[in-house]
Amino acid sequence: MIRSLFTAATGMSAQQMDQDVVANNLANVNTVGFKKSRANFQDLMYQVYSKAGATGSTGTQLPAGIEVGMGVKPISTQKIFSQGDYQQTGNTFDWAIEGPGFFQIDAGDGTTAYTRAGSFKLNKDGNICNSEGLLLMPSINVPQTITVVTVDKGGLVTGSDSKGVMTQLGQLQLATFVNTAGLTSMGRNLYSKTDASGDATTANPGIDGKGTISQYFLEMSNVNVIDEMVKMITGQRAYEINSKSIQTADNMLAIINGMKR
Amino acid sequence: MAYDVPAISSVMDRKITQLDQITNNLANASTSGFKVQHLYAMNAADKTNATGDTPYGDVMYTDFSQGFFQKTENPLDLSLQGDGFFVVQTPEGQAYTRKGDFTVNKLNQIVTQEGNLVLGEGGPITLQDGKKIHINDAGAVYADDGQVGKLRVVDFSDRQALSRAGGGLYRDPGTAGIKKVDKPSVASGYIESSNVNIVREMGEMIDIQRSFETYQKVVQTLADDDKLSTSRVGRLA
Repeated sequence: MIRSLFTAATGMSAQQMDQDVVANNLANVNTVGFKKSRANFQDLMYQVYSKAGATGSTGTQLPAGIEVGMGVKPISTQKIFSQGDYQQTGNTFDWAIEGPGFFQIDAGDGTTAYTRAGSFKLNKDGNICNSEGLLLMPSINVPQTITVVTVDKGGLVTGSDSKGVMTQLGQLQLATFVNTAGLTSMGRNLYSKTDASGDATTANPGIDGKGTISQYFLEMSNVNVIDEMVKMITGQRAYEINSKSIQTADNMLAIINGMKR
Repeated sequence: MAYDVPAISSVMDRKITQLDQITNNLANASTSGFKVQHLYAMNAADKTNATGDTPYGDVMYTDFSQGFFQKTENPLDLSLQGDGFFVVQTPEGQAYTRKGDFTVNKLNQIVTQEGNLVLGEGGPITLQDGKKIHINDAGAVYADDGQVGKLRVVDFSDRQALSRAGGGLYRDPGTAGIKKVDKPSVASGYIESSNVNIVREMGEMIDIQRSFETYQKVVQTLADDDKLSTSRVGRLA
């Protein structure tokens, strides 16, 4: 059989995977704190027919060998942690991070999860939690007597009661990673650390290059619909052209079979 | 008997190799930093026309022309404007690449997507945690305001002598003539796309299929001639 059949198949499956990534980005175009992914590809190994520098049929040295590639493979899907746009919501517990850094969430199984989605709520005990009810870390409790909660740029959470008496409720901390792209997506807007990301370093917002907090704002998804559309178009055409390779190889096999009548 | 048939079938075989190569080019239409390659056949007539000591036989040629730049906004996506290659440390020795979709490992060093170290002029480049990465035109890498290294960019006097190692990497068999690029032009936040020209590849593909058909007809004609000679020789009327 002709190798092109299999080479083109690798091209088609790579394009298919790219479309999967694009589709997921588009599906999350309105997900708060969502970070888009990108599939990275690389060429596969090459089969060497003749080596550069070998002696050719007429005794001359071949300046370049013949090596034929075996196609393409996806090497990684990479999260792009660029900043999303901000949307003003006016909601007390909507906090956006300006700059790098993640909120820490108690995943409930003893581990810490990290998120950029700052749409927090209060649970029935007055503790600040995310939309799923997982607690923010370090935990902050808002007593029932507090009527107004404010968060400053440095992450200091202050409450005031109906008489206007101010109380400090807690201090937010943000986590950063050496290799942010190495985080694993757990879904539900959460990330967890891996060997590749390294351990989290935590600090108060605004310190050591951690981002600052903007209350009443949410960070929107960083998916750019136009970019994704363009990727979808190029991906579809690339898929098509790979199928043409398969057709050509198939036609040539038919011609071979037609040689002997 | 027609003795040309084996010769023609070997030419057909080469057409298949050419198709394999074009398919590989097309499969890598979305692979950043990929450079297309084609297999050309030279015949005796080409040899007489060729100047110098151009060899006779199959010649493989990689087109190292620039792919277009895609904006990504990721500071570690690097592309080279004009000639040159980034230098990568692999377990099998140094390799060279134009695939600049770099990232960092947990030691904060700049690496390729496969985890191989990208070399600066003074070895691997280590970034600093929490500091903003900035890479200027000349390839100097800054963490906030402090320079932490400078990317090594090299070129070769004979790029065709490079062999491919997969993963966008090239290796120097020792004959390519490595030289330093003094004034590289590095664009950070951009990725160089594959330089595959789909129109050209399509054209070549059509050409391959049609010439393949022609060869088939030639073989059939020769076979018909043989049939005539075997059936008519010795017959009187």
